[in-house]
Amino acid sequence: MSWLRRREVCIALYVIPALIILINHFTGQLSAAQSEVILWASIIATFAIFLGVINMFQHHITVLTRKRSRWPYSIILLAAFISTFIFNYIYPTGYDYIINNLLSSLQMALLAYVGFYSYTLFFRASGTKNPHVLMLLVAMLLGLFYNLPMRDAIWTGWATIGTWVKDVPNTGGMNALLIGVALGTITLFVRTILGYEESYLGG
Amino acid sequence: MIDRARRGIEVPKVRKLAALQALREVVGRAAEQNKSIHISTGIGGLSDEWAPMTIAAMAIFRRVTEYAGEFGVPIKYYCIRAHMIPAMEDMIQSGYVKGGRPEMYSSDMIEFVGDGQQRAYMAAVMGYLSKERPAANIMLGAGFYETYIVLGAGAVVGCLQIAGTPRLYYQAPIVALSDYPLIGQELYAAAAEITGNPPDLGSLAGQDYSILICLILMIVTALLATAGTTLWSKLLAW
Amino acid sequence: MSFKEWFSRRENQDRTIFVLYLILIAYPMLKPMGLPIPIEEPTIKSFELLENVPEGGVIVLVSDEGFPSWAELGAGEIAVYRHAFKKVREDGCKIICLTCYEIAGKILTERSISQVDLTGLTYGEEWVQLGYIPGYEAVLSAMTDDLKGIAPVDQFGTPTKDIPILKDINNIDDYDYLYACTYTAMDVYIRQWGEKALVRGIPIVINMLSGTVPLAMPYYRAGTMTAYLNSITAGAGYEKLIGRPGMGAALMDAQSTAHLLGIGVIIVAQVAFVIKLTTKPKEEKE
Repeated sequence: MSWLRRREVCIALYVIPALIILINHFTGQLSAAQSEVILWASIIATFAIFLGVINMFQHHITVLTRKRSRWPYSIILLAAFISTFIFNYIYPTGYDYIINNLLSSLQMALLAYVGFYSYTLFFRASGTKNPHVLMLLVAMLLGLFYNLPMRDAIWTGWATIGTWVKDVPNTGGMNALLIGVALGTITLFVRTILGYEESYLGG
Repeated sequence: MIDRARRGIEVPKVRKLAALQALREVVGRAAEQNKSIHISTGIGGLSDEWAPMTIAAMAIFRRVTEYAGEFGVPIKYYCIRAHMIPAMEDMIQSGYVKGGRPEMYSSDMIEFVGDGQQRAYMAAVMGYLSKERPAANIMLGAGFYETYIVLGAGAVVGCLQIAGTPRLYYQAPIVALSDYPLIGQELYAAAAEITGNPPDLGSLAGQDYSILICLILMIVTALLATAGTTLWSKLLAW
Repeated sequence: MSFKEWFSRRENQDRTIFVLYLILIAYPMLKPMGLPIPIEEPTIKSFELLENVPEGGVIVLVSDEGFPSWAELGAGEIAVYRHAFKKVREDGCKIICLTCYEIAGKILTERSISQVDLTGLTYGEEWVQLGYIPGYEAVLSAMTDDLKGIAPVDQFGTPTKDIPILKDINNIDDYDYLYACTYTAMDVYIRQWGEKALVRGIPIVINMLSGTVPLAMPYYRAGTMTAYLNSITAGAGYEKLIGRPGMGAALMDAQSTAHLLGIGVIIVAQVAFVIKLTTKPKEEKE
């Protein structure tokens, strides 16, 4: 059974489903096979979550047994995980409460951090001589003025300038980045299909 | 181009990327300060449309882990995709073995925070960066809006930051907050350069030639369209 | 310790910005200022596209936003749902709701529908909720070929082949309007729907975060994405167009003040830096 661990088997496991999806995209002849492949991928991804749960329990139980720093947080995490998991099956009302009232509020609060960190980004990025960052700052300023709901009350020209920035340099730059990234993705795919890419195989 | 590189006829050279040049120095500095480094592959995994970015990041992190093994620097990685756990465990462990310090590896270095749970990931990374204050924060791969959080928190605690993602909307925080940015497809170029494999470098050259061809086609189409001929653009659309 | 010394520390600078941000967001929400609400051209276009869906047309609403983005996208989402259900009442249109990115979308779909007046409407005959179908891009692709194949049952467990509204709806040939609300990549929808929708003349409207609008511009200019809603600004504008002000209008003042803070931070920091550069230190002068 050691042949299963050979590099070629791992590469074949990647290449065959990839080719099925690629061929179906262009010819439409393998749609049943594609659906099966995608279904298998979903099932494997679901099983992979077990791996994650095991890793999480391993780590936090180690923290608890060895009384490492911040061990009370491990208790909270494990208790929250187990209670949410059990509630889903035996107490759906409690589960809905946790999702609608606790989880959604916590997630919204955490996303608010992005707003706060955006402002520290403005502050850190400002105060610079770097020409690239200066250009970024000017673009940020124009974008902020353009998206300001009361921009017309300050000056009606912001809409014109903002629209030009959005339609001309932004669209041009985005198109260029899109093409570059797409080509990079295709290149990596070709390398992986040909077996030259090894990083996803691990050590 | 891959074939030419593989046969040794023409192995392209990549221009110097500051982020790559700095990798060894960054890990060495972490060893001097007796601190750890935090690595992040972003929110992408190996089974979604961001897999190429994750694969490119892993190619670079493989070298980082070797340096970490060489200098004796602990690594911390928060895993947001369950299927990445075995791949990253294997990679980090191999890195320490190749670096000459297999005993340093610990499974605690990889911590799972929930499959696709970006907010949990953000909270975990912020907590780690603010408490442990690692010497370096390296974020490569498919970054989403946690890029702001990871790089912002790193900037607050004063980490040396290397970041790169081809994802278009997150170039701004990478340029503004990281010390060594990899912009756009520089991540793919860095991955090819760091492995040093002739086929990887050959594919990079092929990619650049493709971009050149696209550019020429665009200019020709624009000129012909300006002249009033739409036949060319119709041919291209077909 | 003087203020200058205190402010020179990085964490104090961040704290000051955070506190200012908090005050400037919270104050307008507690005491609305009633600032004017602009309506952008893509918002008007989105409104008109839904308004022009023919009688009996099929409206597909894909809600892939998550809890974190509800504050930004919720206003537009609710406004679109209200408009869509108005089309159901007035023109006999049909609505298919689904989500494919994460399960939060299903919960938020229910939240949006709870804001709509459903009096006189019957589930299964006027609208259907297919719930969360895992698979994301694969689902978006498959729904253009075989809707009942990827959704054998609806959110409540009823087989889709038994649902009256879905009797003659099978694939993209039967859709008349495609809408998606997303807080991640919007190019996924363009990739899977764009070509097929363009050929059939089906409009694609995407409600997205303002940070992702720049990425959408190439698709909008090329016509692959017919229109878009730019987060909360568009949400407030859409509410104004349907004549039902709501969450969007309430949050616009907060957005104005937050933007002004951002502008202020950039200008003040850069001016301070320039002054510092141009001012010679006292030791040099001596």
